[in-house]
Amino acid sequence: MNKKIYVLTTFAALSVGLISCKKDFLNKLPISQGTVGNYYKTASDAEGGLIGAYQQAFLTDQYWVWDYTTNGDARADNCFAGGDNPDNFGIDNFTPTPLNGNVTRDWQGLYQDIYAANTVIDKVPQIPATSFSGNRQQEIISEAKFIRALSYFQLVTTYGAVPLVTSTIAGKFQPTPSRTAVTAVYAQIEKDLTDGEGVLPASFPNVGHATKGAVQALLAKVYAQEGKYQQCLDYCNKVIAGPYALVPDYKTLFDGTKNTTESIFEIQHSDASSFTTYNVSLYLPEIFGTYSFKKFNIPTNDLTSLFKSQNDNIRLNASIYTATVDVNGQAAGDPVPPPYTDKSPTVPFLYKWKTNISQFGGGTDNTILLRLADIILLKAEALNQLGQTLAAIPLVNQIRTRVHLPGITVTSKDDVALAILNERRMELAFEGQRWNDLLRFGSDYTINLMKAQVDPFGKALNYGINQNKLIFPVPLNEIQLDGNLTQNPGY
Amino acid sequence: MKRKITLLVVILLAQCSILLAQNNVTVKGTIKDERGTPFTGVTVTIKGTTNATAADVNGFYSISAPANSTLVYSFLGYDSKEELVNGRTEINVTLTPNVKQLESVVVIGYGSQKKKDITTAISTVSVKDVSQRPVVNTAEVLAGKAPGVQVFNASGAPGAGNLSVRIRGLSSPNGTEPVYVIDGVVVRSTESLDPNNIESISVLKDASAAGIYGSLGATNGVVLITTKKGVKGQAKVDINMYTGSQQIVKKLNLLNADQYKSLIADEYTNAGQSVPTLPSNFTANNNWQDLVYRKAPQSGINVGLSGGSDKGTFYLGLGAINQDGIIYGTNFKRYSINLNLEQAMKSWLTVGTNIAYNRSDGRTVNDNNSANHGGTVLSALYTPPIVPVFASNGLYQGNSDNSSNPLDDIYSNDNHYRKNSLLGNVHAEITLPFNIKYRSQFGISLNDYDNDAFTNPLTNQGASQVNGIGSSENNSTFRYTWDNTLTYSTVINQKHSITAVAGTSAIEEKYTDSYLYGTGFPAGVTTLNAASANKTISTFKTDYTVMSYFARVNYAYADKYLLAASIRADGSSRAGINNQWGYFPTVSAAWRISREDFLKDNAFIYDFKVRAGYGEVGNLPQTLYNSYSALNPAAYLFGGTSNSGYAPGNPLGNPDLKWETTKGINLGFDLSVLNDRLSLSADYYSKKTTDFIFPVTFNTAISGAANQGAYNLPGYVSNKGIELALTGRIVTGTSFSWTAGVNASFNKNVVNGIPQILDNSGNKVDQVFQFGGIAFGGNGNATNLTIVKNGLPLGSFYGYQYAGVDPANGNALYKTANGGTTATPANSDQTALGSGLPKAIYGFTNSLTYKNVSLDFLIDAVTGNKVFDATRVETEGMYISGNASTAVLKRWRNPGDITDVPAAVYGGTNSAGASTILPSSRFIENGAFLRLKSLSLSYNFKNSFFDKQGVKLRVYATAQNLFTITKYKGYYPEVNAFSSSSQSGSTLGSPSSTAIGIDYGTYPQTKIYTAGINVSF
Repeated sequence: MNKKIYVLTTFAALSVGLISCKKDFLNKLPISQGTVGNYYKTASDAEGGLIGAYQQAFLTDQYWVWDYTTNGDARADNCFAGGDNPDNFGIDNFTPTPLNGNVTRDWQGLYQDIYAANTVIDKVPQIPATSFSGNRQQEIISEAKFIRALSYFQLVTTYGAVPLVTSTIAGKFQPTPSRTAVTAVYAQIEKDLTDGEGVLPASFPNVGHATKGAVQALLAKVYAQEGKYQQCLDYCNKVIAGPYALVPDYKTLFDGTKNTTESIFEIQHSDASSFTTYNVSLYLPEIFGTYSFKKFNIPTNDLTSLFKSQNDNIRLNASIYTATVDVNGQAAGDPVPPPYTDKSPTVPFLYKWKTNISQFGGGTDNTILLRLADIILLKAEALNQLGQTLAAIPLVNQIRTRVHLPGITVTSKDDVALAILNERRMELAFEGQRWNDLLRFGSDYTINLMKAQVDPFGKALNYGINQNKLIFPVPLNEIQLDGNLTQNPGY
Repeated sequence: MKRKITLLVVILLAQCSILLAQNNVTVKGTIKDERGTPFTGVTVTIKGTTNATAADVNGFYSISAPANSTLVYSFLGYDSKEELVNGRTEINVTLTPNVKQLESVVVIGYGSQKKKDITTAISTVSVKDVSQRPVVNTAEVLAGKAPGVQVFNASGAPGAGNLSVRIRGLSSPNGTEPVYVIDGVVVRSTESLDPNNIESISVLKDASAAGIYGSLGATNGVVLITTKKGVKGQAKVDINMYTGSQQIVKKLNLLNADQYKSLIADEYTNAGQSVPTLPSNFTANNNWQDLVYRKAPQSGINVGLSGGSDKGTFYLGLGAINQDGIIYGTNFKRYSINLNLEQAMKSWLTVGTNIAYNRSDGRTVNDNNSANHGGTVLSALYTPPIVPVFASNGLYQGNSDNSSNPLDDIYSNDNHYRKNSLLGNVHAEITLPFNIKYRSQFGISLNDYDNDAFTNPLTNQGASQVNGIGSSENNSTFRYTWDNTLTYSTVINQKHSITAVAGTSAIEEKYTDSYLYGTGFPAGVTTLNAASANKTISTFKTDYTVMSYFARVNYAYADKYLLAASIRADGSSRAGINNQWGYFPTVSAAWRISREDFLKDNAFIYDFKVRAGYGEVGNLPQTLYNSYSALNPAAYLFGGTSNSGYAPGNPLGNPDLKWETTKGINLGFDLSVLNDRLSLSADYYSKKTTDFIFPVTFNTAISGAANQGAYNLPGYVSNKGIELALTGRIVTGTSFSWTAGVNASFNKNVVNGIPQILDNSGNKVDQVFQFGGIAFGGNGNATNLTIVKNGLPLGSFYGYQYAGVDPANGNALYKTANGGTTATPANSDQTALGSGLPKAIYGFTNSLTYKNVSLDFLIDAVTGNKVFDATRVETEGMYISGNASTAVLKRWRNPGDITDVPAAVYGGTNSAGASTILPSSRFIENGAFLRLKSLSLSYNFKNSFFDKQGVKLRVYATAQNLFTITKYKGYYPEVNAFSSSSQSGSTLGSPSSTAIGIDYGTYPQTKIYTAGINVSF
């Protein structure tokens, strides 16, 4: 009998012992995938997290591939939607619904960029400062804040008041934030950028990072959009005093040359498959080796006419390529993109990104988000708005001289304002600037201008634009996921 | 030696009997049944003679017999009894029924119970038909046998790997399958088992029965399988072999060449496009279905060797199956071995082992996929008859849209898999003082799978441009389960019977996978070492653990009042780290009214028991690391060089993830009458799964790219139903007997309690979660066909209500939300269109024997379910350049045509924006069916020679799916394209329970004829 009790005791002890002594038996972490909880422990993790934020914002998100051009130029008078996508038509025609795919995608993409930035901003301060060399810890946070500010700037100009979320929340049921007033969103943007201004260096050994100049240039643009022209002027001056210079030949900006002296911040691409961009395959005609389909963001006659009326062949040829299209369904070339029809054997195509190495997604040219010419013209605008019209004119002419155009002849504040607007239209066509430029010029002006738009054959397009349509609706999908989100009026 | 002594005794006795033969005595007595009531009609025979008498109404008999003779007392349905007269003049006898159903032992999980003592809803399933049907997969054994158990064969692919078992409806969006326990080991699947080696199956249906398995997926019930063991003193060989042929149940009617050309002309004309010129070599007249489907042989053999001595028993099962598929090129082979050993080492120690190993291999084709993505079944319907098999360049010819023809799919894609499955356990049982038994069982299961795929350059698919595409995948799942239990049982004062079990259980599972890919092969070589380009490698690993404590007490008072209660605590690495442990109690009770004094002597009622139970069980999704937010690899260029890092992405971790809990009650009774010749069981159940876990999407502002995770949604799924099972030994004659069982179950499934959300105008509306996405035509975005929404069954069909065809222009019309019709409906006009879940299922089993001939058949039926025949979107959508079914001959052609088939429009949408291919009730059909699942005729060879040698020989012929009565227009109403989650769009994997009853080019079901032999000696 004793033997049995021994055996029992041994077995019981063995079984209970083996199981309970392994305290972490139930704690299993993913083996083949990193986790947020495990990461962000070292300086190199911090760099890795920042790379993740850059990739999310500038490679993963479609916003900076082509949506910003659709919203900034096709919504305005620089492009027709082209293509065959009802979502793009909706944006072009001022009939975007809360279900519009682009409207949804842009909101989601920009908030995904913000989330990636917020993760860095939350996690990197928890890493001991001694792990970093020099001021790198603060620089990393400031770069993330640049991405966050850039994204909120797009959101607030595109949707109006948006939820202001500045940290990541793990676990529990995720909260449902309300919309934050436009001014408060701008205040956060300004804070993120001014925080970074004192931290970031003028340049990095490896180009591609957000620098002090990038922060200042973005601040200038933010202040301008807020109507704070004095601060705008101050920051334009800071940028202009920085290490930037206009390239002598405008063409250089859009011929595949990367990171020129004029560039303040640009998205880095290369011919490696993970780093190409696909905007070229949506824009360039088939003869550039793209798939044959109806291409998008087709330049308007109005824009072409402006170039031509100014004899601005340099910028016209750098921006637009006119190619033969397949009018009868039998010849080579792309099918005719709307609103062109079979009556148009040739159609203009958007041509600021040119290098293409494969049928789809083969673009290798960088995408410039901030450059000196933009800031010089913005400074002119600020000066003019602040009543220093005469000081503004030489800045406009500086930009015109580069493309061998004569100086402007007008001198009144209003005329100069219009001249600056037109100059920016030609200089920055398809760079996503036009819509915000128009809004700064005035919403009535914008509405009237858009109401007067015609198709390539001179027929009125009768856009149903009104004050409400100057911003997008809030995506229905997000309203449904967040009961505290309200819809914009008119949608 | 023993045998010699026996022989001697027999000889001596024989001599005595001769001497005493003339000495007759009159023997009298009374015969009673097991309750002591006088037994009328019992036959009393003098052994070895034909002299007999029968007992009178008082059970009294009298017979004159030699003083040394033996009397045999017999009555059908009762054990015969023999009494040596030995000079006695009065012999009183009690007979007991030979059908000891009530005394039969039922496995209930960590123990067993006599059937009469069961307090919960447990069905036991007969497995005797396994030896006369071509059963490949264990789940097939369950079909039609037990109420509330629906066995669903999702396709007719060889190997029957796509069976799903649903017990009492669908309780969770996370999986439909029950837990399988083989010989006490909780296993991942039953695929390592040859069904011929199964001794018994019991199904724990309600929560009070299944609760002892707590969270191991017991939301969907538990299937307990016991394999065959040796019997002491009986060395036995059982051989079963069969061979047969399978064929497609039916083929679909498609357009011929002229009809096809006319359709294409209509499509393009109506779309405002010029009709394309067909390639000049499109002059064939192929019936692709005839080229794809064949009669396919199937054969199998199983040998069981068993035996045992006083101290130990063994069972060795050997099996082989060779099954070709009805689609050319597909096949399945399996070789299996089962070994069960049990040995008493000491009076207090028994050890044993159960080992099952099998290897299977097969060749598959792509199904449940569009023709453009190589789906063979759809390609056989889609590829026009005029397309030749080969093009002039020697490659397979594709359709004009470059989709591949089905022979290309079959022969260009060489897709082979091999599986090695090992299931084994060792166990020891120690008898301790105080009626305590200790049992420790360590089980492992190892499932290795590898798959080689090679697409040869003869294809007109992409592989021809890259000189072949090869891939190889290997994965391995290893799991160990260690259970330790203490069992105490005692009877106090002969009235109080107590059995108590307490134990622990630990499970750890590890999974590894590797995937290799390459292109550019030299001619004739298909292994990846020869690949010259695009080489890709990937490996990944996962694991999870479960730790459990459990206890159960069964108490019976005077065999009348029965009580059971259990509790299980489960901790799992898959639950949120803040809610790792779940606690699952159960309680149940039964009252055997027939044991009460007022019914004890009732001659009609044999047994009557009422049961009531309550229990809770838990469930977790298949996703493993639910607490942790994932990081995805990222890279960005700085200074022109790639830098790598990470960005947060899906899934979003939820450290608070709780167990899904199913709380259920069960009320039932078991009644058997007329000496157990007729028995009825009825159960009512109501169960509710709360906190159900769903791939919840959060608003992007808060969650960014990590906006999806496994969260408990404040909603529930409820299932309520009634189950009835009636079994009868209708005729019990000596030469003719008929036993039948009929079962019916009714289930109502509904989802409710999901919080409402605001619509664009600020009104509260129900949230809709969509599943079952199919990219029709293989292009563009997937269209979701099912939803989860309050007030509807889980995974209901969702779309537009079809309202016929506008005679003026041939547009398809759809009903609008406010009752009108339109050709261009809004999203808000979509509505629920029925569910793939049956409202009722029926089973009818029959066994008739006349002398040596037996006829067994099984009929099963389902009603109240719909099938979304998405195949018809392709074959009747008339929007693509593929062939169509003859249903489109009725299409609208000219203004004024009255028809319900709209005009053919290439692309599916005409210039007015009217679409003919919206997901609508047009493609939803009644999925009810009644079928003769199996019909088996067998002949038993009985003769004295066989009897003497102890040989049993039987031959049989069996037909499966001989006929199916259904209105369904597709291949077969029992179909489920989403049986695997491979078509999922969600990052968490589309749970198959939310997209059931969709037919989309699914491998068709088969009709099987087999003939076989059973021999045992």
